[in-house]
Amino acid sequence: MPTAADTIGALAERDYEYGFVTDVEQDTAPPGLSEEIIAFISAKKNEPQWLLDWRLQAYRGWLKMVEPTWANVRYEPIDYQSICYYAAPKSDDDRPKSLDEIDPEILATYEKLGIPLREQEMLAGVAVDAVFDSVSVATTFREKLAELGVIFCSFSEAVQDHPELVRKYLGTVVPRRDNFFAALNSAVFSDGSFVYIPKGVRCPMELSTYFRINAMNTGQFERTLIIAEEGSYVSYLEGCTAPMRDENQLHAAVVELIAHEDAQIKYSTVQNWYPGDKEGVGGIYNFVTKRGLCEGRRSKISWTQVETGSAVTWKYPSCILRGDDSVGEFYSVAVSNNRQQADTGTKMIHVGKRTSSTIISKGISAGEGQNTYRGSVRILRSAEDARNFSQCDSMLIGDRCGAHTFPYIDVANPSAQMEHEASTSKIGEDQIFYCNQRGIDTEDAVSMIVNGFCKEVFRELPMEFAVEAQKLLEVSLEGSVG
Amino acid sequence: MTIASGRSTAPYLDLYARRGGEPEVLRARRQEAIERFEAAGFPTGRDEEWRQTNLGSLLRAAPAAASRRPLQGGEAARFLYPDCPRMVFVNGRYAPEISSPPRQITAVALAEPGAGGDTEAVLEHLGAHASGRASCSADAGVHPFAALNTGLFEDGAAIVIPDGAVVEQPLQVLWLNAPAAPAAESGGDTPAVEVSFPRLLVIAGENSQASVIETFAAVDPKAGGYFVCPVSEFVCGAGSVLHHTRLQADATDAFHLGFQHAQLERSASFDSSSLAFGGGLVRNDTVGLLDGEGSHCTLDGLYVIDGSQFVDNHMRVEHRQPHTTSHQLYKGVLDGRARSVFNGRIYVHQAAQKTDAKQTNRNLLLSKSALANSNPQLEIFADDVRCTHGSTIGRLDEEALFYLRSRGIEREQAHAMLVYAFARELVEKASHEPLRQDLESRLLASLNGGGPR
Repeated sequence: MPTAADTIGALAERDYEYGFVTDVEQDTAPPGLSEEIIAFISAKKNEPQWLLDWRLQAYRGWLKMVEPTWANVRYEPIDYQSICYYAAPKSDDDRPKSLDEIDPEILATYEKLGIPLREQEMLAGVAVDAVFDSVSVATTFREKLAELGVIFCSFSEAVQDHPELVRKYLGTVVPRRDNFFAALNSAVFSDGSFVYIPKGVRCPMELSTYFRINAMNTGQFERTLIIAEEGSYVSYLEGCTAPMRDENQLHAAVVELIAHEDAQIKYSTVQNWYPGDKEGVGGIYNFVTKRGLCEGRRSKISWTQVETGSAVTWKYPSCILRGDDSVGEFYSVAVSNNRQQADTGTKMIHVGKRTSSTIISKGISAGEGQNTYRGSVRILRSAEDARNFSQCDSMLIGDRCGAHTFPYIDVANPSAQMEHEASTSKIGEDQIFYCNQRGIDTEDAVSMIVNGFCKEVFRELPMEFAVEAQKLLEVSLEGSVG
Repeated sequence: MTIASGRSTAPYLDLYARRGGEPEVLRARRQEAIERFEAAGFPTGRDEEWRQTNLGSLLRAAPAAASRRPLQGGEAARFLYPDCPRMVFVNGRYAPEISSPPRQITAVALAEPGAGGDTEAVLEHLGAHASGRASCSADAGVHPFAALNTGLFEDGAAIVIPDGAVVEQPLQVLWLNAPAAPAAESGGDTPAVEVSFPRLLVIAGENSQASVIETFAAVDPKAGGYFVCPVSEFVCGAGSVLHHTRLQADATDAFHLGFQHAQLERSASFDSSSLAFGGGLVRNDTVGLLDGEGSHCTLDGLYVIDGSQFVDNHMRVEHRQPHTTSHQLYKGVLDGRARSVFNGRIYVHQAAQKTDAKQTNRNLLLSKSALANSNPQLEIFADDVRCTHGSTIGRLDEEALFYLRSRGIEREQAHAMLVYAFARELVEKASHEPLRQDLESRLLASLNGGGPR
């Protein structure tokens, strides 16, 4: 039987499984950021004047901001002038009408990633808006959704086809000067997804976008906007992997969710960007602003995330519970191995009466990874009978990693009930021994225990995602038991 | 460097320049501390550690050296526990006429010439731990008020418990504030505050046992307008057991910014209870360094506040060695427009395997306008540890109230009973009977002040 140390050795050697670069011609803007570049991006995408103005105002605001340093992460300073802010596959001018017209090399990329579009179309019943770098190249099931009045398209298409909706909602949840990275995104966002669910419609399938960072030196600045009208329901999946490369890539996405009366939005993420090699070289910087607004009464927003990738993660999916009786949920599994750093958590802002929120966060640190939970629960004076339950558990694997918890709890209404619990533990030798005794090898035992630790979160994931998430966790962690 | 008006350190530096005589040997340490204070300046809301503490009202006031005032007969008596040896300080200066220091251990005023306040042990430790320098991990930064105290304290108490000594009676150190009537200083709008800098150093020798009660009080609870900036250092030798109770009953519009620092050697145990009833703007920073294998530290606290009182407790416990344990339990009862902050951080170094740390903060909000902030934090760099924290904020249980009411108990009384039941755990902890009774009556008095809302 291999000893734990052997297993660690073997698995630490394991390379990033999804690392490869596909050569596709890029139509790329020169590196650097200026008003000209923003005008170039905007012109390239044939945007109306108001959107250009909006971008420019965000840019001017960004110039006056300083990069935040409060997060518990360390990284080399980013040179914002050396980044390309626009890259689109050449085939942009004549967009493919069906999968057959898509560049076979791109299709092969998806094949390698295990996202066979055709199969998904047929088997999983999932509509995929696949983002290859910054421009959507394939969208499926659009007609079926259109019958119900559901709009699911790329952000640029939405700007062309539904400008009134975009103009009404863009920046209402995450204002363009909300924070440094959100302002940067507002200035240069390239593309993303747009979802609109009309009144009373229950979206019949899980909507899904696969993100993929590919071109050298291009940051990805996704912008996602999901609007759920009264009484509607939508479940949205976001998943990503990235090819192996050496220079740090910046990713600053913004996601805005708006749930009207009785609407429900379920947003799930599996994030597996390149985390850098064993020495921490390369890897994605992931600075994401995600926020949902429970606008109407009895609305509900639920965030579920499985974060296994990226060198540096800075991400706080939040809920503003404005409508009375609205509900916010946050389920998270964050894994940091080798030299990964994750500073993630949530903000729950209770405004309306009888609002409730649940936070379940599981952090796993291995190798020299640093994992931080940073969350804020704010119960305002108006939030009568608000309720919050938070639980943050950390698991340490190995003696050189760190687990940190920084909850901020501000309660200004005595009728509120809030509870916060956190614990830190490791995988006990006795637990491993117990499994070994019963013929389960150390590696499977660890995998089993970790999966059990994360069960509460995985349960929230749609089925396909839950499977992928468990697989990712195994790849990221197996054998790192100390 | 430009300093925003009202945040200038100049008036305090001026106090430093004008200070009176001081123990000669401390000069270098003081100079270093005051320079550090000057370099750091006053913290603002932009400093993470001071984000929720608004110092505006304090910094707008002009500081003045504490006045010298003899005590009228019996003014101190109601704060003293009759059977305890005691040291009494008025406005930060020793009052030997009403003090009765214990005989079997060294307990001396620092400014008293020839009393032993300049012995080697005292000089080794005084200001060496809490001089305001980042005495713990790098990111702890400078504590400006601890540095200010080191630079400016005029007098204080040094208590040295010899190796192996077991002191039965607790020693009481009373810090009494009696500011002069605020009449003279009528030049302009800036209110004046009298500032005092109490300083306590306790050195517990190997395998010794003792308890120390610190009481902060005002002669006239209505005469506020003073600023007390105390620093207490505890050096716990191997195997020592030190109990510490800190009763803060300042005037309700006084400023109280304190700093406590405990360092524990092998198998030492430090148990501290901090009970805050008074003060307008109160902040306590407590640092516990578990520097020896098997050491244990308990930091408990209770705050019962009303009106526009603000109490901020910042705790930092560092586990530096294996097999160390720490417990924190802080409970708050908030009424009126009171506001509280709890910020506890447990920091586990990589070497500190087998750490067991627990941190709990519970808050009871009695009014619609009260606000409780709770930030329990864990930073862990070792894997074989057990660390938990919990935090709750809520109001009295309606069902429990109904239960009592249905048994014929008046609403006010039922209300007081439940609040008392919530808080009593921390009052009952006091093992010295007169102290326990005092705490109990203070708790009951603060409950009867208000009724149900």
